[in-house]
Amino acid sequence: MVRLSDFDALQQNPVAQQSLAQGVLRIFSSDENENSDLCLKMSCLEYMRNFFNDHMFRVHAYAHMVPDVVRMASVMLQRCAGNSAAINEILDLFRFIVDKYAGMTLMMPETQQTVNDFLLSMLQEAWTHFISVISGSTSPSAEVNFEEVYGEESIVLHSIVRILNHIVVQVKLSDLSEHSVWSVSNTALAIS
Amino acid sequence: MLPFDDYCGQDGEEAKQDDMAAEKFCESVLFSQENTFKIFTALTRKYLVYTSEEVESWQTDPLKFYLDAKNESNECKGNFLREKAQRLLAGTQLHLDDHFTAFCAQVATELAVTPAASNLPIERQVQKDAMMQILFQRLAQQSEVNVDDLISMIESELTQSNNLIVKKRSI
Repeated sequence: MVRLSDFDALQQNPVAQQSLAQGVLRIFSSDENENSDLCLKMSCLEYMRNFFNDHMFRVHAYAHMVPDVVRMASVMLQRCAGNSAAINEILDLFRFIVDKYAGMTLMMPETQQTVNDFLLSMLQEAWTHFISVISGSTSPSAEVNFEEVYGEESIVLHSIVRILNHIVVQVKLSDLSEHSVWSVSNTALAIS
Repeated sequence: MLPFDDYCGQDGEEAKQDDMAAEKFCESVLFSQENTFKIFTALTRKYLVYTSEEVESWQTDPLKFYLDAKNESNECKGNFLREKAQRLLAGTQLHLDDHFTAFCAQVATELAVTPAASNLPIERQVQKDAMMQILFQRLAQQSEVNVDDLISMIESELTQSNNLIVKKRSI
């Protein structure tokens, strides 16, 4: 399918590109009730995924948009918790963001966490849920088909580990919060 | 034109002349601007548009609809037809670029006077969306095309409400 975010002409026009990306963010945040259209929301997310994966992406020029995009993706992660295909799309966006921004200290305005800390806490939550179900300490959530999201056919866990690994490689542990360091260590132990 | 057997039996200069004659016939009669415009118009109005079944399935389960469209799922007849229509357009653009350019200019003119999608009934919204897909197709193939007008139009659509289809497909 032809996508606006793929056009060469637009990639060479940073002002128009930024204006459209902000328009997409506005669409996403203008309707955040539980009944809002998930197709449109996922399309907004896909636009951002293409945008952040652009080979001509301007890392410093678009850094100010990262907290809003991370927030957008975290909202979608909660809303699509039972659908592995949608989760993978969201994790892909996180991966592109981490790839470009893990080395920078960017703040989430609402929580005053860094973007890296915010991402780690969110991924840790998913990972902990998986470990606790596997170890038998909790039952899987009734809303989530555990096998579909975490089973052998799914790449959700693989993507989570890949993102965690990417952050650890690019960020000094001293730049992460104490909780994040603890999360990373625990996850590494669980994987090993 | 020559009967098929006679045509195949020829070689050398005579066959080359017939090739040229056949090519000229295709260009001037079969793929005249009038005929290609009919093809492009039919593709736009019948095959690039979202079908009423698709609009209904979007309203029933938006996430499933999104994933089906993204994966070009054959479960959805509209996806299949749209993919074929887009391929035909891309192929036609390669061979009949002048006609496609003229058609895009006509579509752009028509779009310029079409009201914002939020003021249109759903049937007109899907038509407007299909017209925009034609210009996207053009832009995807030709990087030197000026995108300013289309971007302005999309920016304006992004600020409107009640134009889900145009918004979704624009981004």
